[in-house]
Amino acid sequence: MKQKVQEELIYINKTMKIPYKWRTGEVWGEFFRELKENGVIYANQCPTCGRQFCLPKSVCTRDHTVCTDRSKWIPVGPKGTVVTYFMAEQSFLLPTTGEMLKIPFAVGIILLDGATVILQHQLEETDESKIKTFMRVEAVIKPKAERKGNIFDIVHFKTITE
Amino acid sequence: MANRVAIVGIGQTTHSGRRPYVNDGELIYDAVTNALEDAGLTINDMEAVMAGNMDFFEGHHLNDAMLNLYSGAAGRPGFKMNTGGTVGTMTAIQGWYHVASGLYDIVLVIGWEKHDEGPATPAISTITDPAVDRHFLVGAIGGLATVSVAYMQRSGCKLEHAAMVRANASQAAHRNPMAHMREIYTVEDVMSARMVMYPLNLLMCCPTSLGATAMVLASESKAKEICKKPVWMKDHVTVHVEYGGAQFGIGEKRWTSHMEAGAKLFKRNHITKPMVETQVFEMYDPFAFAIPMWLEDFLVCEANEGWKHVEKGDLKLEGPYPVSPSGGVLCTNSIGDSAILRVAEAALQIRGDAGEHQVTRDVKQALASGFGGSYWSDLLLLSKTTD
Amino acid sequence: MAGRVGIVAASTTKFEAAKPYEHLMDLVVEVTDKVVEAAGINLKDDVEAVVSCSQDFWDGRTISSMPIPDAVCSHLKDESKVAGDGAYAVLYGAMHILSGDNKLILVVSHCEESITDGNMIENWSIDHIYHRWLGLDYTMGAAMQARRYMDKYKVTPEQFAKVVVKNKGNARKNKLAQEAMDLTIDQVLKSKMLADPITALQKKPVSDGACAMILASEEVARKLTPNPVWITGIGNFYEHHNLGDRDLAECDALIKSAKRAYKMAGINNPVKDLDLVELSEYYAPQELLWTEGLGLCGRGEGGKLIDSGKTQLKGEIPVNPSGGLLSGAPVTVAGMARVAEAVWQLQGKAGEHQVQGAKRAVAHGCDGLAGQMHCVLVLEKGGK
Repeated sequence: MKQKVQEELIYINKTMKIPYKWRTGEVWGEFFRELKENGVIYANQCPTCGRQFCLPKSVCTRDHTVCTDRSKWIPVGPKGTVVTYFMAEQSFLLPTTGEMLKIPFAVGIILLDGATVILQHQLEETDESKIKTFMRVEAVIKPKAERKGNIFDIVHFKTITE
Repeated sequence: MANRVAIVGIGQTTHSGRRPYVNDGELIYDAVTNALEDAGLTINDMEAVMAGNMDFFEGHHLNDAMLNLYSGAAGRPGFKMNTGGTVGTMTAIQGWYHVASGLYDIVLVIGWEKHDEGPATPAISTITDPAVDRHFLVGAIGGLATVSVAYMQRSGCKLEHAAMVRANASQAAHRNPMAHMREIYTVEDVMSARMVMYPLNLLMCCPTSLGATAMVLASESKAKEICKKPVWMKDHVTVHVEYGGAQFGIGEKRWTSHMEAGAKLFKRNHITKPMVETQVFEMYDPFAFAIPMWLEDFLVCEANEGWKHVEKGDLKLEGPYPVSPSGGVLCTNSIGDSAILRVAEAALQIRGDAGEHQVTRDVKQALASGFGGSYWSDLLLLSKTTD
Repeated sequence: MAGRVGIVAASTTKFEAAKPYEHLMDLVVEVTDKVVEAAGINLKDDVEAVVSCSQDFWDGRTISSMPIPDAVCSHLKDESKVAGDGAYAVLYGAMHILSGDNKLILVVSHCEESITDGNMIENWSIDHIYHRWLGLDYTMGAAMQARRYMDKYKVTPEQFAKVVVKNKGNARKNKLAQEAMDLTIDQVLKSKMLADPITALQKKPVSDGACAMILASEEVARKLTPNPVWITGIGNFYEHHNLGDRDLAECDALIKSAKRAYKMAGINNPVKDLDLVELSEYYAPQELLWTEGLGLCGRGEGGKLIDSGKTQLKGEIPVNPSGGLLSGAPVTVAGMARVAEAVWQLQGKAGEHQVQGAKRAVAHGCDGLAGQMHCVLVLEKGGK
C-alpha cells in the first residue's frame, strides 16, 4: 500500500475511561486497616516455608499454604533496604489518573526489616546520584487523621543513615 | 504421542513507529498474505487460525474476533491467548498444540500489535494490582531498570557493555529491511542518549513499534509433502513464576524463569554446550542488558560471563554465537508480535533465508525466546532436521 | 486421537451478583483447592501445567493472569492464559494432554463482572471503525438477533419467556445457582424492557465467580477416579464479526462446531445419543437458536422444541438442567461452568437436578456479539 499524505487521513480519537471497583480481599483489607488505624506495616507468614510477605499474600506461591492466620502477622519495618530501584526521568501517562507522571520519580524495590518478600514504593530522594542499592530507607507514614486505608498512607520512603 | 510440527511458511510486515494509512486488520492481512505466499498455500488450506495480541494496548476487547475477517479466522476454528510479552511465543506454542494434538494438520498463527493506536506504557503499568503496586510501576521500563541495576551490581557489567550491545544490534538491524530502527549507532552515540530511567537511556530501551508476523505450521506428513525447507519446532518450555520479586533472589539462591527454562530444555534435548550445539539465538531482548544477563540466565553461558562475550564481540552477527541477528526487540518491538517474530527470524536463519542479516555459521539448531509478564519466559528449540 | 482426555474433577464457586469480600485470586484459590481435593491430588507435586482463562478488560488488568502463579502454586511451572470463554481453556487443556506434553493439568477461569460496567466492556469488543460508535452492546446485539429470528422463523416472545421459566426454575434445584425463581411467562415478558424484545429477566444476570477442573491422560484419569469423564468430541468456530456478513438468525459457526464434535464422538442423532445439554444462553432467545445449531431440532424449530417440553428437566433431552447462564454465571467462566455441570451430571454428582442415568452430554461455550464464537465439547461418562 502506498504512503498517502498524512493530513488527509481520518483518525478516530477516543480516550478510554472504564470504571472499576476492585476488591482487596481479606488479607490486603487487613493490611490497610492496620496501616490506617495504627500506622503499622504488617507482613504475614507462610506456615510452611516461613517466608514473611510484605506485601502480604493470602496464599504462599511456593507451598500453596494459606497465610491468613492473624496470629502469625508481624509488624515489619518501618526501616528497610533498597534492593534495587528505578528513577524515571521521562514523563509518561499514568493509567490510574490519566495525568502525566511528575518527574523525577524514583521507586525502590524495598525489603523491609523483618520481611522476606519485597514491596515497591516511591523514594523521597530524586537525585539519582544519591540513590544507591542497599541504602537504608524508612517509611514516612501520614498522620492518623489523614490516613485513608490505602497504599498512600505510606507517603514514601526517606533515606536514612545507619 | 505428539505429531512433529514444522514451520512451513513465514511472513512479516515491515515494522515502524507509525503507519497511519493502515488499520490493524490490514496490518494482520499483510502478514498473513506474506506467510501464505511463502508457504505456497491459500487461506482455504488453513484449518485453524489463531491470533495473539494484548487487548489494552489498542483498546480493543476480544480483538481476535473483531479482526477475524483479516486474519482469516472467520468461519474457521481458533481462539486467543494473551500472556503479555510472551504472547507471540505462546501463540506459536498454541499452534504447536493444535497440530501436535492430532486435531489439525495445518494452522496459521499470527502475532501483531499496532502501537501507534494506543499508549503502551500506561497499558503495561496495569499489569500490577491496582490496590498496591499500580502507582509504582512505570510501564515495562521500571521493572527492567531495576534488574539492570542488580545485574551490574553482581556481575561487573558496565554501562559501556550495554552500549556495545545496542551498537551491535543497530548493525544487525541495518541489514534487516523489516526492522524498525535501522540507524547505525556507535558506542559513543548510545552512551550519550537521553536517560529515561537509570541505567536505561533511550537507546538502551526497546522502541514502540508496530507490525505483525504470521507463520504456517504443519504436521510432519503435511510438511514433508508441501514444504522444501520445513523448520521443526523441536521443543518448547514455558515457565511462569511467583508474582513480583523472585528475580532478585532475596534470601535464597536466585533462580529465574530463564534458568528453569534453559535447564529443562537443554536437559530434555541432551544439550550440554548450548553455544556449540545451537548456532543462533533470537532472544527477546527488550533492553540492552538483556543479552548479556539472560544469556547467563538461560544457562547458555556461565554466570557473570555474558558481558564478557559482549566485550569480545562473540555475539555479533558475524561472531561465533550470534544473538538476535535480526536486530532483536531492541530495534523492533511490537509487543504482540515481538516474541513470534523471534521464532520466525530463528526459522529464517535455519532456512538460510535471512538475506543480508543471515549469520555466517551453518545453522542446524536455533533458540528463540519470549519474555513478559511477571518475569516469565518461553524458550523454543528449532531444528533443521527431525532428529 | 491418541488416547483420551479425562476430566477427573470439577469445581465452581457459588455464583453471586457480587462478591465484595473476595479478591479475584481468592476465588481462584477457592476453586483450585476444591478441585484438587476432589481429585485427590497434590497441587504442588502432581499438577504439571496450568491453563488459566480470564479477560484483561473485565479484570481491569493487562495480563490478567499476573497473580495466577501465586494462587495456583505454579511457580516455575508451565502456565498459559486463554483470553476467551472458559470452554476454550478446557479445549486448550485437552490439547496439552493429547499432544503427550502433560499427563495432569489444572484449568481455571475467573471473572468478577460486578467490578466494572459490562455494557462498556462489551462495547469495546465491537469494531472501532464503524459499529462501536453506535453504542452497541451485547443486549442490543441479542435484541437484533431475536428480532431477526422472530421475523425469519416465526418464533415468539412467549417461547423466549419459556426458556427463562425453565432455566430459573431448574436453578431452584441447584444449590450453587445465583438466581433461582418461580416465574410465569407473563412475569418474564412484563419485566423491564431492555431492548425489544429482550426484557430484563431474559438477560443473564451480572455475576461473579470462578471455575476449575483437573484434566488428565486416560491412564492417569483411571488411576485417580472410578468416574472419569472423557472428552470425546471437540469443535469450535468463529462467525464473521461484521454484522453485515452475518444473518443473525443463523448460527453456522455453531452448526459447524457441533458437526465436528459429533463426528469425532460418533454422535449421529443428538436427541437420542445425548442425555443432556449445557449450553451458554446469555439471552433467552439464544437458547432456542443454539438448540437448532446443536442439532436438537431442525432449523427454525427452536420455538417448537421448547413448546414440546423435551428440553425440560424431566424431558427427553434436558437443556440446562443446572439453570444455565440465566441462573447466573460470569462471562469467561460461563462455558467452563457448563463443562463442570456436565461433568457432575456424568459423575452422578449433580444432586437435585441430576439427569438420571446420564452417559453422554454436550457442553457449549460462546462469546462475542450475538454469539460470535462457539465451542462445543462432547463428554462421555467413564467407569460404571
